[in-house]
Amino acid sequence: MAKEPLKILTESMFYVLLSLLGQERCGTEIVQYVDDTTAGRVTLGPGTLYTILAKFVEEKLIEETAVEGRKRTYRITDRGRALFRQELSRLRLCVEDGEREGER
Amino acid sequence: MKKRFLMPDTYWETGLLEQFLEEKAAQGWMPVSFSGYSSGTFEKGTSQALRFRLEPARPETLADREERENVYREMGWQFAAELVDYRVYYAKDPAAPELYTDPATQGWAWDRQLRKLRRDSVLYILLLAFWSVWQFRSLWEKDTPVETFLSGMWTVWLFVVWYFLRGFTKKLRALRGIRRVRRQLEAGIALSHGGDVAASLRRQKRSEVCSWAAIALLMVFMVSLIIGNSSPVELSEAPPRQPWVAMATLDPDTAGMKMDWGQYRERRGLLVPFACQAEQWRWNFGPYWDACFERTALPVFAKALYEERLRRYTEAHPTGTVEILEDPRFDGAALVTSRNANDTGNIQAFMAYKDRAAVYGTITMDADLRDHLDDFAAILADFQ
Repeated sequence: MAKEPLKILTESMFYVLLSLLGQERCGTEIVQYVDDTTAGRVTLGPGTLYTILAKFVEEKLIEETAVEGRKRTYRITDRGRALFRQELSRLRLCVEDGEREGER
Repeated sequence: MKKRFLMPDTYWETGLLEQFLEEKAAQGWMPVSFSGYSSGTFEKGTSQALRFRLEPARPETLADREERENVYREMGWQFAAELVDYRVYYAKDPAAPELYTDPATQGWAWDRQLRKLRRDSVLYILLLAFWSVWQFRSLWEKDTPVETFLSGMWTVWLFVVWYFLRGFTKKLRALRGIRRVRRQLEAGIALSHGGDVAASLRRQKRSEVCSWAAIALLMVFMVSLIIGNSSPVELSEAPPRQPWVAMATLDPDTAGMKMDWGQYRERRGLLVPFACQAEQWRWNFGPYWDACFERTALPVFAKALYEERLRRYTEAHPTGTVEILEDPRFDGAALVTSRNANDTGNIQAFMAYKDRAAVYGTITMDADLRDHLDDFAAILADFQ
């Protein structure tokens, strides 16, 4: 709860960043993308979605690109991509460690 | 049809409020508006199985809110009402995802709200403490705490003590609850949903009943004080049976002079069932006579009155000769004597108490109260 830069992402945060890697998306599109990609394994509640979006904008990991009527679209920033890559590496290491140690 | 209902007062524990709202919806009552955290107005409709969730209000523009709530609606969540710093949403569809699916983000969303609640609680306690101490200011402003207490301020002070304890314990409970919720979210555990609504409502009802009873009691005491305090009347209109040694008894010649002032008043209350005061004097440093009598509810009050009067009089007349009388007819008695500026008369005060009654008399005239100890002893014996 303390205000410090994000270092580790939760699953919900990871998938929100992932959803914006390829293209700009609005809130409902992000939810749909996460649901499709994870085959319903990861659910984004609307409160969670908007808290993540607000925090990511504040941290300059994403930015708003357009407001069309009631829709706001977001795109990932370079900083967001860097954090995503960092998280991906961390997860890869976790998987490697898990596979190596778990298969003994 | 609209109706007001009491609500659980645990505003830091949203799960309890959510369950309360769900129970009300099941009975067909939908929230319309809330009065603080303690009660809300509900409208009767059809019974519905709804999921209610509370979310701290976000700092956002109207357009941002509109866009966000549009997405909420698309995901099955409707806005119901504002509850102070929370927004209340409900979902009809059981398949709609939870409002918060990630405890970490719930922690972010609640962080600002919990800090605000904590700050408000601390501020409330500080202001309440300041206000409570301020209500006791007459203790050091008037220098007559016993007299002030017995003359009726005890009701106000009792109310202040009760109000302070009530507010303090409530906020202390809130602070504990806020800390518990913060720790839970910091540990990555999602906020729980539900709780003992019935127990919380019982506590809330008890608190409301106590509050109104305390206010009603205060009002009754205040009114009885007003009724018990009679207006001053001319001394000649005082009742024939008088608990004092009159000026005429002390010095008939002085009493025969025309006086500029002569009044009598009575006071009745719970701690002092009967009290009276009589005063008689002439301008230009002429004779002065003042008599007080109190029949108190407990001997300890009479003793305290006696001690306070002795202390105050000796402080006001530091050159006076103080005699503590060892007389079995009194539980305590003292005489303070000094001479007036022209050395033509005594400035004298006699104060005594016996059991529940206390007498006090001061004179500035050519008489000696020492000569009337029998009269004072008779008054204290007769007026118990």
